[in-house]
Amino acid sequence: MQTDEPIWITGVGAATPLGMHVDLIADALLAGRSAVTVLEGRCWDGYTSRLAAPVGAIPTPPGWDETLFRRLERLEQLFVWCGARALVESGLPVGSRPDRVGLILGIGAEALRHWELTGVSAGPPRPVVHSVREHLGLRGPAVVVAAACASGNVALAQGRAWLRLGWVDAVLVGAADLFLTPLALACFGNMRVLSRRHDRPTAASRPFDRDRDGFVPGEGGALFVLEPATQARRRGAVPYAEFAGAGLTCDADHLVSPGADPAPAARALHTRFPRPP
Amino acid sequence: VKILCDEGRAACRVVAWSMAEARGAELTALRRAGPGSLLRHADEQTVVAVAAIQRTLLSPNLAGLDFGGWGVIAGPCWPGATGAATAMRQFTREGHRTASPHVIPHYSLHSPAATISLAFRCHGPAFGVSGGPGHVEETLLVAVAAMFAEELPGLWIVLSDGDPTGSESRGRAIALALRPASLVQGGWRLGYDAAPAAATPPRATMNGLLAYLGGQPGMVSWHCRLAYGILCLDKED
Repeated sequence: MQTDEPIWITGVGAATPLGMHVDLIADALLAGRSAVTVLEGRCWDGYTSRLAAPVGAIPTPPGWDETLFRRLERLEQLFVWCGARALVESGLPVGSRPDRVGLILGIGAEALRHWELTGVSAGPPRPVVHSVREHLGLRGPAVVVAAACASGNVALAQGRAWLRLGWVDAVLVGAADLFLTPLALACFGNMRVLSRRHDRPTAASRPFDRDRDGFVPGEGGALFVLEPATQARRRGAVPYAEFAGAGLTCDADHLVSPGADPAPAARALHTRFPRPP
Repeated sequence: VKILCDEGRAACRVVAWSMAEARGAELTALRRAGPGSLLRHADEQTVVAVAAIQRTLLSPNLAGLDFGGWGVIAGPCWPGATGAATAMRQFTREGHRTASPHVIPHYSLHSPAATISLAFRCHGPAFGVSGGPGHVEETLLVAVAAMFAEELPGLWIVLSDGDPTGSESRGRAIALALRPASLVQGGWRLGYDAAPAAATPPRATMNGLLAYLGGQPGMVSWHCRLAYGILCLDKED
């Protein structure tokens, strides 16, 4: 079944340095709070930038065995926490047709992170998407997508396409990263892309400001339950929002810097949200 | 059994393909033959991916086409292992000051797609898929959906693998040129049917895909039965 009907977001699970619940995160953002801090410890000595927003301990989802949850690798914990929260919030009856619920995870650097923790010669990790799918009891298609900082957007666009094509009845989509590692911060630092505003960490992240001096890396993640509006309405789900559309383009100009020509970005916007006449 | 691909809204066709495989000195040669200095720091899988597309471009089915609006979806398997191993050894030995700024842009899952989009000036969506052992089925599934959702004139799909332990410098890539069925005839139809097909599905492999595309006798279609559906590639009689 293919559909053009609206797509709703009916559940959200998040874990960020500002909190582990959507309401807490929203309150913190609206209050203008910042979670950016200066990293302390010998492993950061000499780093040109030690500004970051680390996420704290990931809570165990309600109903989960604490010991088993703590045995999961930390990136798995993050995704499982977000996914379990989003599914509970949405009220989606996953158990009735688990093969009709998909999973799309945006992950920027799964292997690099694993290799830094274990060493490359130890071999590749078990893909996180497979274990998260298993732990959440999903049986539908499951994939990882990566477009650096835009990975979550790609995941959302792909999830919308799966629903419109009728491949799944619902899909859990989003992204997460835990990449505040010594090598990652050293690499970003040597690319000279990080803020060095150590004297005012909470004012360091200012992406559109005239006085910006680099970005501040952070950790965290969020997963959304997407489903067609008719189905969601039928079972009494309350939407957070309607997912109106997505357009994806690429500057194809430089590996790490945005292109000077705004045309590709404008095209991404206007293919889905045409200019008013 | 011949499984026919769905000709619904997401129907698309592989109109040309090629592969590239290299190790050691051959890789160095391909790296130098790449556009400008773009491949100087690139991962092995990216180098062979660019070479596979360059070879595919020789197909008469692609003659005269403008690739500016095309997308790029690259599904490598554990990309960046060799480069990451070298970078980590250096980091352990010399500390943060000499950490290479090339690690993140060149050894991540998105790196092959990003480099390909730069090399061939493709302004459609460019991203990586999977990065692990499920890269063939995950990438083809995502590509079919992207062709539908983004209404693209064409899409480069690149599947690649290398040495996951990072000890040997080698890479292999298959490049597929995908176009919407509404614009072209011929080639191979690529489709996905969302019907559970196998409880414990076998993994789709690059070897299986190469065997079918290469015309292995007895293979009338290529299909991958998954726990949630069937991916298939076939040719009209």
